[in-house]
Amino acid sequence: MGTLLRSELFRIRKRPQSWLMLVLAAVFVALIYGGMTVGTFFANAQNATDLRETLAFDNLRDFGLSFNSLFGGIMLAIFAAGAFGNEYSWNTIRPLLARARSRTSLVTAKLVMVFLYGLVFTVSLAVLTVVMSFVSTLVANGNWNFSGEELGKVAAYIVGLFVTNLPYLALAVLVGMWTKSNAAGIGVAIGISFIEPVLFMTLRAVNDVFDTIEKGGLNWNVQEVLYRWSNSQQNWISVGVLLLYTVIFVALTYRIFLRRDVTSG
Amino acid sequence: MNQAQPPLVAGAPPQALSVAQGLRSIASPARAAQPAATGALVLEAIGLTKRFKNFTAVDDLSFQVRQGEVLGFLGPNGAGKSTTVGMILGLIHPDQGTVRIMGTDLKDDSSLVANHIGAIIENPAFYPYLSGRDNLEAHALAVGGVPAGRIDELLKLVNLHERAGDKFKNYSLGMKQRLGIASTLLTSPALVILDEPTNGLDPAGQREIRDIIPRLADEGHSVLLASHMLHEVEQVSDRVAIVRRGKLITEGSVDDLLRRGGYIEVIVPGADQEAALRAIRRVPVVEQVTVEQGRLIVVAPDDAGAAINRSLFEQGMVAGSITAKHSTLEDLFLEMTEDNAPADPVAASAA
Repeated sequence: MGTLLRSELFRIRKRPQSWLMLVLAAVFVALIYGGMTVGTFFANAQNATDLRETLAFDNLRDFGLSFNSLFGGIMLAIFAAGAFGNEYSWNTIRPLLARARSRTSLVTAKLVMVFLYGLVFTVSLAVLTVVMSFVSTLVANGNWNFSGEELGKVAAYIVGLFVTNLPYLALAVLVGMWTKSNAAGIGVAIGISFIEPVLFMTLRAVNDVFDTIEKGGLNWNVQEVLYRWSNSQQNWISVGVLLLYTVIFVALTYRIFLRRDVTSG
Repeated sequence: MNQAQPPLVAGAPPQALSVAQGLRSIASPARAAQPAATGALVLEAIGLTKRFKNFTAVDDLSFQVRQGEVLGFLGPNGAGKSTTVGMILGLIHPDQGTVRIMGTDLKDDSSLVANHIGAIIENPAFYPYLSGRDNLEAHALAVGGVPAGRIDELLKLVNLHERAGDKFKNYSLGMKQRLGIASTLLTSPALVILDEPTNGLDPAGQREIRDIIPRLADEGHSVLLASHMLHEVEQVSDRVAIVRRGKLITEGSVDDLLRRGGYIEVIVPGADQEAALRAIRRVPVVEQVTVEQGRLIVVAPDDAGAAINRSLFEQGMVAGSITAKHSTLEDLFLEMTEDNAPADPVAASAA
């Protein structure tokens, strides 16, 4: 598996898309913070105050890092769906499989790289967002205005961001592999992240039982980890649910690919 | 002329061609006549069967490839060649049967393919955003154990060293094929599987590939060549296996197969054809005689001409011409794979 990992890493490093996604996300964050910081100097008093509060470091989790969750999630779904989807579209899956020591090692290498890239991407973008928030706070408010305790909460949030991305990454890999299509992997992973909350909101209005069912879904547990974290038992149960979804999607990926006849791609 | 060729594959000792082999290989692109390969078995396909939904793509197919031989693997479209190659490479799970590589069952060791086989499956596929060199580097990292300098050596071999830094997506079809050949040789594999390797190449490119194939075999590596270019298979292969509808129709050395389809054409002007038939049938080595548009078609060894001529003369007839005719592989292939060929060719030939 080590040889396959080295090959995957080599290709990811050499692929412009790997860097472009990170750059795009960074530019997006910089534009938002930069634009709003500039806005504080041109807006009227009330709007300027609102902008400064939004930019403040202690608002980071609700503002800047929640953008990470949204935007970063989309970028990572694109990357994850391509783990197998691209190999099929480039017709490289068969040569790659013929060079792998085993199918298990190939799937493992793919998943490890997806999760590793997800970690690097999440942490890099989050760190940039934190830095932008520092700078914006300083420029707009004239001081840092944060506490060590808040910094600790931000660090915990970043870990939470990675954990909450895991099941969507695994789902994108699974669907991309199963359908041999990037688009399907991206569509399903992103679609579920958007549709699930809307669906349950509608269903809850019909029947309260969906209130309970929703707690077994992905979105409710993501919200619990990211926005309602207090180190409570429920928080840790939610982490467990998200990891369980991840394990299920990973297990399905192995099962399907190990049994599949690869006749094309 | 004895001339040692530099080895294609690192680690393999250079093989000096005998005078006959050297002259023959220069005189025609056909591979110098090789004794029947008696080396170790590199590949054994034993009773391979694969069914997809409601049709059987490969049906109880068995064949072998020995060290240092080139096996041409022929069949019409849909005969099961790609499915067979897929099972050999572990891409497709056979419903029945076994693939043994270097004597070990593929089911017992899935790393056999990576360790011992280099393959181009249909069209060579690489990563479009990587250069030719980086694509080989990525493949080398995936298999591991590729010595330093090997990639440069292979790029020179396939004449891509000057374009090695260009992105694969900008390569011509011929360049892509050549990069594919290079990638199969990264690990000095025991068996190279080539599926239509000259597809899309110009005549010079086709010749280059045809020259590489026998050199691989001369250095002790085996080649399984699936191709529709029958004249090309005829030139470079030691043996040929022909499949139709998933079954093996025939297998044997190229020379033996071509001899099978050969015949002697006898023209006896002005003579009673029936009398000529009877005269020729008196020759012990004659297997069969038929009359076809004024010609006598005689199935017999090539050297039976003198005996036939003598027999006719003894019966008061004079042959106008006695000519040994040989089939081409194309003739044999078309005859064996046409629609009204026996449905179960193995059973038909055994009857």
